[in-house]
Amino acid sequence: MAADPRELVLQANTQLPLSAEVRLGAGNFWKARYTAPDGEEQEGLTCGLWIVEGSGQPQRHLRVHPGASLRIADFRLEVREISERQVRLSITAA
Amino acid sequence: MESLVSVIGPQHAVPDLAPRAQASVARPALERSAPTPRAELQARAHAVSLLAGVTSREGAAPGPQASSDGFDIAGREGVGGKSLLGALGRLLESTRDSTDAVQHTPAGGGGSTAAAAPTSTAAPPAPAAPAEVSRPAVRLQPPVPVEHGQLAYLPVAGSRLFAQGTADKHAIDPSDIRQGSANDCWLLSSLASIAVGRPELIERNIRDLGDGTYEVTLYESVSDGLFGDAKTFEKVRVVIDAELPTYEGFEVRAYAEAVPEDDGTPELWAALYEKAVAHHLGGYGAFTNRSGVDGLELVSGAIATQHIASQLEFSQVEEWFRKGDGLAVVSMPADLAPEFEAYRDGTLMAEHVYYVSDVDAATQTVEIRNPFGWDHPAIRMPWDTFKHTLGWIDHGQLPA
Repeated sequence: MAADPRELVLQANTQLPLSAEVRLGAGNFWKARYTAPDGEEQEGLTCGLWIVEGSGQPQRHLRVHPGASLRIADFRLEVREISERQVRLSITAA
Repeated sequence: MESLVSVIGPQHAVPDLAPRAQASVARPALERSAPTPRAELQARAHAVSLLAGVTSREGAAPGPQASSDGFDIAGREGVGGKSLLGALGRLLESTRDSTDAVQHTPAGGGGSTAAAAPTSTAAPPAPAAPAEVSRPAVRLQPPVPVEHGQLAYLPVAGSRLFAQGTADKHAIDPSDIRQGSANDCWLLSSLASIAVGRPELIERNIRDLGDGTYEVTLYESVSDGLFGDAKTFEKVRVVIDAELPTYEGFEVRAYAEAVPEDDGTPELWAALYEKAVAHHLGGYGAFTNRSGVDGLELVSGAIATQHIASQLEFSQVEEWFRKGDGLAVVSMPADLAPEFEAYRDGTLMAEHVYYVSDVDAATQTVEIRNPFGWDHPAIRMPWDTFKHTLGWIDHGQLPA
């Protein structure tokens, strides 16, 4: 069974380790149009995530919006909120 | 007489004078920090700031707030489990206080371009002999506030101050740098830039004292040169131990990592520099709103200047690089960045400080790197693209 979700706040232009191998960075906060989970087109703050999943692995980049969910290594992330220079994430160990 | 310079603010008046022998082996005293307004509002019970101990050269009296084992970990919980998730979850509870609130500055919460200097390249005053100010000797600096809960100052097992990997040109190599959750791209990129061109400058400014502590020499600007006088610096010698803010139960640092070399040896110098600067500025949360100019000057004691990239010639940048000068690069503000594909596709991060890792005269290209670490790829651009895609170049004419 998956563990309870936790929340973390990632500041712009910094990175946090999710485990010894996995790191998550955030930046490029700006407004953009996106499709919300309910299927509606919206405009709002989005941000870039930079993901490193272990040494030797290519770094990945994604642009996310509130409500987006993604899986990184053994973690499931949901984007709760994006403000001007930080993103609040809910994270669950799979 | 050799004197150590320290800066002790009111919040740091906790002279924990532990015996020398104990200081070199024991973990530092930990205290609950004063709650931040946000923490009070949120009534978070477990936001613990973990603070380092202070020892004078002469002192030998236990500090008033240290427990018998050197720890006072009120409210601390175990992380449980075998991931950082438990520890990371508490980040919400210990969200940075208002002093760390992010302001919309042109560079990474760190870089500032508001006071861009003219593009003068006038020779700075001789940086080799900055003034030294006598202040009371301090063995270990006062506590460093850590914003996140569930962190402990812990030693890095098997670490060395310097270690040379097989691909490194010098034991002090920019690949030794990996930024964490502090807003200090300006500092780490400055260090990386100096490691590219003048690694011996770092080597002579960080000294292993042989008792588990290290002396890092920083250079504080004491005259801004705005009234016709030369900008001058004074040496600030910061003595720290090698224990780093670490997620408990894991070998992962919250801030700059002790990046392992290819033989697995974690290398300390970059994280120790960051710790020394955190002591000097007042904490890991005090890094915001600074530029590569600040970082280059703080580390080298030589005047640095900020230049609008589009107003520079490639030949100038190439000459600076060839001379081994410090070159940090500030990317575009976030409100302009979406106009550029390199930001939209994640090649570049807006408002961030990078460092120049190579300049190729033959191809007229400039290569920059992210202080996030060498698993983030180098970015090489033709100069014409570079100067219109990046915002500013911070140049430090480093001392010989």
